[in-house]
Amino acid sequence: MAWKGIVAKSFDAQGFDQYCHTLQWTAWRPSFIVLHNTAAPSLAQRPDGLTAEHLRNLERFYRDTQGWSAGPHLFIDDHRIWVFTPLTVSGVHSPSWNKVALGVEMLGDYEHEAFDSGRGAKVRDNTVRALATLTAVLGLDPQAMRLHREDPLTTHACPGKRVRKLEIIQAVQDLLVARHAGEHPIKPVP
Amino acid sequence: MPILRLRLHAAWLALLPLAVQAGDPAAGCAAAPGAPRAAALRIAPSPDRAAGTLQATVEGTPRLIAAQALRAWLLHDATRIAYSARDGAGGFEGEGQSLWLYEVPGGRRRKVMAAYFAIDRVTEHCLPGGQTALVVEMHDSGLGATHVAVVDPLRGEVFLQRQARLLGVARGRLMLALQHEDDWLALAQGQPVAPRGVVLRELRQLLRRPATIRAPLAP
Repeated sequence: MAWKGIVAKSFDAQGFDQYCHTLQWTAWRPSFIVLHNTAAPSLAQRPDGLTAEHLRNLERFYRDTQGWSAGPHLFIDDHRIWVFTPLTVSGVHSPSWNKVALGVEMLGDYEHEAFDSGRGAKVRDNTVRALATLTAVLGLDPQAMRLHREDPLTTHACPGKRVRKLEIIQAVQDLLVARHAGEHPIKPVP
Repeated sequence: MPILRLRLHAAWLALLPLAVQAGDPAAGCAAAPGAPRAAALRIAPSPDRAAGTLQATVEGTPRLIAAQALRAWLLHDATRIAYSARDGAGGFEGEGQSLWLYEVPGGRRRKVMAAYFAIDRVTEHCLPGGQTALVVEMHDSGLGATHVAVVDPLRGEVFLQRQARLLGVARGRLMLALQHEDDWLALAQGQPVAPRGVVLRELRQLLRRPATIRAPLAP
């Protein structure tokens, strides 16, 4: 299959939200999001986060070394949200769900690196922001998010034992409420 | 050796392994009589559910083979142990594994492969003249594809075919089914999928190729 190309643009959370609102999912539409960690490279191996050159290296890796038509959709570090495979086409990241899900990679090795403090927590926060945007724009159910290791055809523990699915989902739901609360208060006015 | 590419109907798939196995000499090679042999390979479970300590019983005595191993196979008439470990060549989300060989007589070990993929199975094939070739079956956890490599146990990896299924080895010939990216999910679900092509390779010719053991590579 021909390589689908990469976007290779990075955004802050607000910029990513604006970017997603410019997209139209006409030829393909994902049903949920699969969460990954890069494992290698780890946070320690990328002390300054990701760069455009890293994404070009990833492109060469997925296209030329792996022989895939695409890779995951997003790479998220502690600074930016990087769009890799275009969000409007299917990627390659999880054997059972490539045709039906977006793949989101968090920079880091969360089997061993902290996810609730330091740079890992910043990656987590950026990820929650990105997931909230995608969930809202695509009308996804936040509860439908899956971890890579839940794919029965996957044999490694991605995104690592320190990533707790329910906590991520709760954080996404909380952010969705905060962003889209509407005119009516959540709780009755006393 | 020309690459034979055939378009096969899915109905023929069930017959291919039988055809390959017909006349296939017994896998594995005979070792020198009297050489110490290993038995009872066991990998101790580890806290992180990953690599564990590999032990074997050699002439009735437990012996530590490797401190960190994922899977292990007895080869060469039980005088050689192949085991996979985590120091591969990177791969998708660092899943690449390595292949090590441990010689039971003498206790020496060497790394013979650093793969981009997870190693599922290793089989040994004897060739005329005393050469042996290891056929290594692997998979990845991004596409769900399988991949096949041939390793010279003396030098390293001499052949890699990505996105291929091993149909069998017979009379020193490796038969692989090539698949398309879109085939892998259907295959995993047990659906019959015809190969996009069939590749035949002479193991003896592959063993003449330059060997490589990749350095660790992070994308």
